Amino acid sequence: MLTDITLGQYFPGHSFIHRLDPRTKLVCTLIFITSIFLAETYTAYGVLTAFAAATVALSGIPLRMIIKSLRPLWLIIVLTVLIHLATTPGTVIYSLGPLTITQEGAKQALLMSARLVFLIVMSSLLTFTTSPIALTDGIERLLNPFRRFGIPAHELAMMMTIALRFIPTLLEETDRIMKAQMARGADFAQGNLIKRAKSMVPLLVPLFISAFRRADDLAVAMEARCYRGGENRTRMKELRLTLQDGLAFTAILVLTVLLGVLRWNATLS
Amino acid sequence: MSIILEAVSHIYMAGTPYERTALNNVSLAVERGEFVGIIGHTGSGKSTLVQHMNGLIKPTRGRVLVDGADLAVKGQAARLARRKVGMVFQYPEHQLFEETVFEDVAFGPRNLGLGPEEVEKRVQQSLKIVGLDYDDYAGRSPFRLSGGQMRRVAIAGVLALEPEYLILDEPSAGLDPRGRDEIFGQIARLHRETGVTVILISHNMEEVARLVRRVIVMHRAEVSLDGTPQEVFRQGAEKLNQAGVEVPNVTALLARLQAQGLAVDDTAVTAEEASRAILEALRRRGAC
Repeated sequence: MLTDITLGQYFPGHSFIHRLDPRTKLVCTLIFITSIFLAETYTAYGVLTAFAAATVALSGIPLRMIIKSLRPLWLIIVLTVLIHLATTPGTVIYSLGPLTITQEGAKQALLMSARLVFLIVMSSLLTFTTSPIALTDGIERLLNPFRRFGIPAHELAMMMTIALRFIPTLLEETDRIMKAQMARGADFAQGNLIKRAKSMVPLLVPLFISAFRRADDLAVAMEARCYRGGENRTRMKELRLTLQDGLAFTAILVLTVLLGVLRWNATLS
Repeated sequence: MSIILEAVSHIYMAGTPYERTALNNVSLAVERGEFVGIIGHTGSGKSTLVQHMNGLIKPTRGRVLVDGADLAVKGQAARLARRKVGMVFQYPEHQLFEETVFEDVAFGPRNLGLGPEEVEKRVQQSLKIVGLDYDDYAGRSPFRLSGGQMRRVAIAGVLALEPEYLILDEPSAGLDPRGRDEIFGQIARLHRETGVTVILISHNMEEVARLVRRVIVMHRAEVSLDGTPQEVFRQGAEKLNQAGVEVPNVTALLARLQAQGLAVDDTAVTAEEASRAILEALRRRGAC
């Protein structure tokens, strides 16, 4: 049940995408997400779809997992579709009482929801193919130049590492406490909203207590190992950019340029 | 009247790279009134096995029957059957949440829909079983107790459901030897006095050998040995080693004495029994 949540879960593998430097993946994902907003025509969306499909295929992540990652946000996608369908003015193609659906609305609904889907799929792909440690390592290295402006790169990365590290632990803990309370007759699924909120107390109190206890233990353990922040810390594995990363950057640049050209053409005509 | 597992298999996270078979085609029956110990290495499937017994997890394949009711079939029969099986998880003190000991122990009985008088009676009884004085402890916050006391409050919370089958997953983990002895003493007494079926998971062979009348050894998601402690320890040395479980010191000592040519009865499992057996063997040897 709870342990089935996949958002932000690493899916081990040795594909081209898996082997890329985490910094490359982070930057490319950011560029991709930005370039989504360049796309306005069906052709541009076609290009995006092709690129996303190729990346997913290269990563070797089963399509089932990708679709599963969309699940937590399906409500937002549905809402986006409905709002665009109902509120965009233009040529009416169907109307029911005060509700009118326009041609432009249908197009907007389709394109906007596609944008959301691309956003989620590509960022999920990032976390599917990059282990949390590699990811935070990449973030730390990317943020490092901004240290002089007061951004605590190492501390941020350490916080993220710890948070990510404890997601599965806390999920497991939640699962266990839930089972323990269910074995004592607790019911988490039935009743109205207030009753259900109340039924969360036997779950949340132990969960908070254990989270604080874990945090405390971890702090002691880190101190006992003389942890004192990122100053002068060296790494066992240094990140290095390789030819593959060059290829990835080239691909994403070609995509962006292509989308830029398509956009320019659309504006001209 | 029994818990029956019929060819139960359980696979975690099927279809992902994390796929893991936790139970592989396990069939066994626990009769009412038995005192069973389940031992095995970490990850051998012990916890998964017992969680099937009150329907907290559903078998991927196979069936679980409690007093004849299939737990996987939704309905009144399965719900009632699940209530008969009380489950004390590992580190049960982590599930405490109420402001007072009384309220926490009363959580289960209240969920059963019992009246306030019955609830109070059950809280009193279960606190007594775990050796905590009702008047002294009922009003205290469970979070201000010692680790061992918290554990006992949590166990009382399960006992207050008055289960007919009581499952305990490593009830002694993390306790000092005295706390461990106390908890095992209380469980043994409860079994003796009320005849409740007890299923005890542990990796401490000594305590299992001393308490239970039947040992089930789990290894790599399967039952590798099943019998009385004497049978298991004597005949299954090789399989026990495989399962990563150590034979109790007493049994190991007796086996070594036998190997050295002393005709000692090696069925003893407690230190007292063993010393008696050794004295007996020495006397016999001295006589002839």
